[in-house]
Amino acid sequence: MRRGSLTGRLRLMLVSVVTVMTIAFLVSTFLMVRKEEMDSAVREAELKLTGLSGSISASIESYLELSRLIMMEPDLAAFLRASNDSDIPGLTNDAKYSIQAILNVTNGVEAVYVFRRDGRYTCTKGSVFTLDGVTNSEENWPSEVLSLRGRSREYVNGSGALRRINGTPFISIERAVYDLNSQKLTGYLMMLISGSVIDQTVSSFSENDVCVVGVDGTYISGNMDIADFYERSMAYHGVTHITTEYQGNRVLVSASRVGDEPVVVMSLISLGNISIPGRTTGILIFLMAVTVFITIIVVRFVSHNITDPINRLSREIENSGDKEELRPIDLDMPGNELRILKDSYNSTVTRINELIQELISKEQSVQRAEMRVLQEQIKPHFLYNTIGTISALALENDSEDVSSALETMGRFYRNFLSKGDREIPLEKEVTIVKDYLSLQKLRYGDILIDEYDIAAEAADCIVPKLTLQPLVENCIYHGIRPKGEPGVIRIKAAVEGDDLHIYVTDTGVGMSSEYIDKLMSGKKNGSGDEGSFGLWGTIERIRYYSHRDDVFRITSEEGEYTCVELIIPAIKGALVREEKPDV
Amino acid sequence: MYKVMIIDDEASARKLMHNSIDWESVNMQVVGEAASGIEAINTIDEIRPDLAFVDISMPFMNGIEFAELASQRYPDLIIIIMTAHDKFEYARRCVSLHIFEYMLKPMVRSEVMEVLKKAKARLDEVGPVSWGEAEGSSEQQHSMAEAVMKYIQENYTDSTLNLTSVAQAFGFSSSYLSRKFKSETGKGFAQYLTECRMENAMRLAGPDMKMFSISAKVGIPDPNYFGRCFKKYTGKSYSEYAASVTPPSGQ
Repeated sequence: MRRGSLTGRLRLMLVSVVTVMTIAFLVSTFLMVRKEEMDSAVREAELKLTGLSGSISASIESYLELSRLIMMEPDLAAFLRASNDSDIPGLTNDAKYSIQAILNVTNGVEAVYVFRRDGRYTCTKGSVFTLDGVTNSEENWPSEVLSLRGRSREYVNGSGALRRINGTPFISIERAVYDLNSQKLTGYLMMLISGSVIDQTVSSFSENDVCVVGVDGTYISGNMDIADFYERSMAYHGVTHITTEYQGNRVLVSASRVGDEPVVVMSLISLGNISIPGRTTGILIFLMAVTVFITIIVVRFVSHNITDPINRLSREIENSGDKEELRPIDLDMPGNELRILKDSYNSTVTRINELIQELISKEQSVQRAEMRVLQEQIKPHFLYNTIGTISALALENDSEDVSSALETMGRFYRNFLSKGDREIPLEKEVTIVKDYLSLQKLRYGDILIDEYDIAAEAADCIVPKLTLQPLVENCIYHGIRPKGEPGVIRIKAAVEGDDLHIYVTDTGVGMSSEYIDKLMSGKKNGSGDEGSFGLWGTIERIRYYSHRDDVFRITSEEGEYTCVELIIPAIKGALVREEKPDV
Repeated sequence: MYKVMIIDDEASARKLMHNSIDWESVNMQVVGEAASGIEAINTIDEIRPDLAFVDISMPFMNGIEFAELASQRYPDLIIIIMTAHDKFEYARRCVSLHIFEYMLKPMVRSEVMEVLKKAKARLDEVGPVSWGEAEGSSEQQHSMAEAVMKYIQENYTDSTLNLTSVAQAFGFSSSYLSRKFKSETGKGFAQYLTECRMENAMRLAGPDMKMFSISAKVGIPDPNYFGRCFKKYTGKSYSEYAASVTPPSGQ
């Protein structure tokens, strides 16, 4: 397949369309899969986070309820109200036991601390927590809790008053306590809930996929690795999703805060193991198949209707030149345009063939004319007759005349043959004529006088060989001899403008204008009568030589003269020899 | 001796034939020449040849045309055609005519001799051409010469007219006609015919009339032969005579 051919381009187009389609298919599939994957992961994550955060929220809520119960315990109120220092140790224990009685109905509460305004406190289990020596009197209570005026606030690992001794995480519910009667601030309650409560909740989910952290990033429960992806902003923006790398896999990490609690739940869902939904893929594959199919159809249509016919046409055109002449093509072409192409090729071929035929027949007729001139017009019979004439001279013992006649004949034939040249200088042609006439005078006696008027610049001009001789022969046989009186043959040549004009005049019988007309009309068949042949042979050769039609004129007066004027392009010898077509 | 006539428009060719052949060796003799078919028609009745060499390429009446006429009028005459043109067309026409031999120029003596020997053998066998001494029906038509003269005056423009053709037209032998005509008129037939033509030529002649057109009008389309006849008859060449003629009155 040649580069740049239409067929090649069509194939290329087909290949590129299929390639682009495939790439587009793959890309879109990839994107759709990604999106689908992400959507489903997000759905899954939200489901998880909602469940987890619901559970956590519910369990925190139940502890809040508990803390409210404790707050309304009368023993605790008494402990907080007491103003006698001596009463306090007893009230402390009363309150402690009352609280413990409430806590008995539930798990997970590790300890409850309740502080008086003066910093004295009662607590259920002091062994696992420490106050670090701080007196938690009213002035140290966090204002953000006090401003809630009795409602609770939750902290991960406490608001700072105490910490767990072994460091495991916990959640504290802290609230200010007001006296039921006087509605005055009387105390501060902290309920400390074990992180294991969260662990229980988390364990009902798959622990590796979820994680619970405090808003400050403190790890509480679940998969600790997930906590590493925690960012502070996650606590404030509803559900947050980020895609990231985890253990070499693409994963979706999602985070959501649990209500107003200081806790954030996180999930981790691995991406990339979700299979492409079959229907979507099916549609895509179907679309791609349809496109490829349509492309193939288009390419086949184009190649069947355009490129294949063009290829066939060009093959035929190549083959049609094998033979001697160009053949018109006979092919059935689809489509008007190709048929027009074929038809115009055919008509061109026909025209070329015609022109070639014309050329051949022209060349042939010129050759025939030359052959006739060479073979019939002069050579044999003129030679034979001249030999007879010279022979008669010899018998008369006129050896001087015999010698000069032989000399003349020799020169005549030398110039006449001219080494086979087709064109010779006019001077040489005139010499041929002079010799010819002098031999003719020997034969017929003094029936004619020849006169020459050749301009010097005309003498150098090139003329087809035997331009004049046949005309001069006509002068004798059709002009002077029929008249029965001695006559004159006058040859005049001159360059006028670009042309050489040669006038061959004889004072013979002349021609009637009817005869001239007849002569002119008989020109088409070269084998006219004897008399006109010499003329027409010459005319044809001059026409062929000069590539034009208007090459001669005849003027005559009956009984007085005939003048044939030849008009030939004036070309000097040296130039022509080089330009002369090598035929 | 058999008599030979050479008809060729080329004087040198006639001369060559005349001089290069040893005629006596075949018992022959050249008794006359003609430079054209026209001249030959006019003189053959006086020359009375047994054998004629005829060149084909001659103006006015070519050798073939002459041979056609001659073989009609002189069936026993041996005609030998000569030509420098080796054309099939010529040979074909000669075959249909009564031609003894067809020879190509340049003439080669040995070939000519061979043909002459054959011709002599023929002549020896059938005898010389009979130019007729036989009497016609002698007594009829006292005014035969008058009728012939009238015939000549009516037909002189016919260039093929000669003694034999007239005799054939009248049903006489040519020799009878010749003798009878001479005895009645005191002139030879040919002389009378030529005189008749010359008189008419003189009548037509004028400074504006070219010789070749006059000669064609009076039945001698060969102006060369006409010129000779004219000079012999008038003592002047045609051009001299024509120049001296005053144009016909009324013009």
